[in-house]
Amino acid sequence: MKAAYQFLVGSSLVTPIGLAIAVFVALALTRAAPAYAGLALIVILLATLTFSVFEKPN
Amino acid sequence: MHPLLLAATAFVASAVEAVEAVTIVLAVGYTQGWAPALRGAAWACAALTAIILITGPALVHFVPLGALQLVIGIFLVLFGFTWLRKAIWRACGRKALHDESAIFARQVEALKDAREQRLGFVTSFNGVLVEGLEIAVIVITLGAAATAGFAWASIGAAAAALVVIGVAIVLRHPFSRVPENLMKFVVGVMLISFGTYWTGEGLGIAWPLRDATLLAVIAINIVWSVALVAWLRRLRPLTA
Repeated sequence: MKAAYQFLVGSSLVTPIGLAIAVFVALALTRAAPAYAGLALIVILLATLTFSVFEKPN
Repeated sequence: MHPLLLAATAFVASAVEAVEAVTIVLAVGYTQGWAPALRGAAWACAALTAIILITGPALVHFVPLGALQLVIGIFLVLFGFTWLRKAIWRACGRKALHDESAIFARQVEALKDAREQRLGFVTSFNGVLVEGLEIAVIVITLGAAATAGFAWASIGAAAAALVVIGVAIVLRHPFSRVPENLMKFVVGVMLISFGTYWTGEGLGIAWPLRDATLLAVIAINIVWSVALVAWLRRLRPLTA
């Protein structure tokens, strides 16, 4: 399990959490406000990248 | 629809998908080596051939393209983050440019290399599989539009794939002179952009510019990543 996680994500904690939030929010918006779903996906992933580069380099 | 028009339509539509697949294979080739890149592409082609032979024209109904795009999109975003983070850290001095300078670090790198080779294989495989399936769906859909349409659509798609692969082979050498970390930076951006686009497609998002949205996503990711490098350079460097 740990090896699979390492393979997919590396050492980051922020990345999977941010990606999960991005997918969840975008999915919710495809029904509630479809015009903003793509924008939300992009913006949340950019925020995830920003937070992830402040993690300790591995 | 006239057969030549059908073939031309299949050519253009397939070329767009082929460019995306070849871009991913090239990206993996430059950063992780050509062996995993070409092996991944070859296995994807074999898988595609098997899927198409087994399902035939019913492929359109059997393959859940949306679900596949979602899963592979998420994979690509994860892989892209791994590469882009490291490239950003190296570009701003928070991580050494050459980890392999010390003996211990070299051993660690060897282990990492094995992991990255697998990443390269999976990334190349996924990219070619998804785009190949999209081309197959294009051929089958257009092929149903006319008598002997399948043959003409196949000719158009095959020609597109050959042209795109030929262009990639020609452009391979000029690109190989780009510094390694810059290449990894670009590859990370490309993977995240493709991943974002496909994840959105899989979720059912109607991108406003269709395939052209991908270019906008790439541009946004480049600008943001360059800004992050500039921002981190202003902070105290932390070399790992």
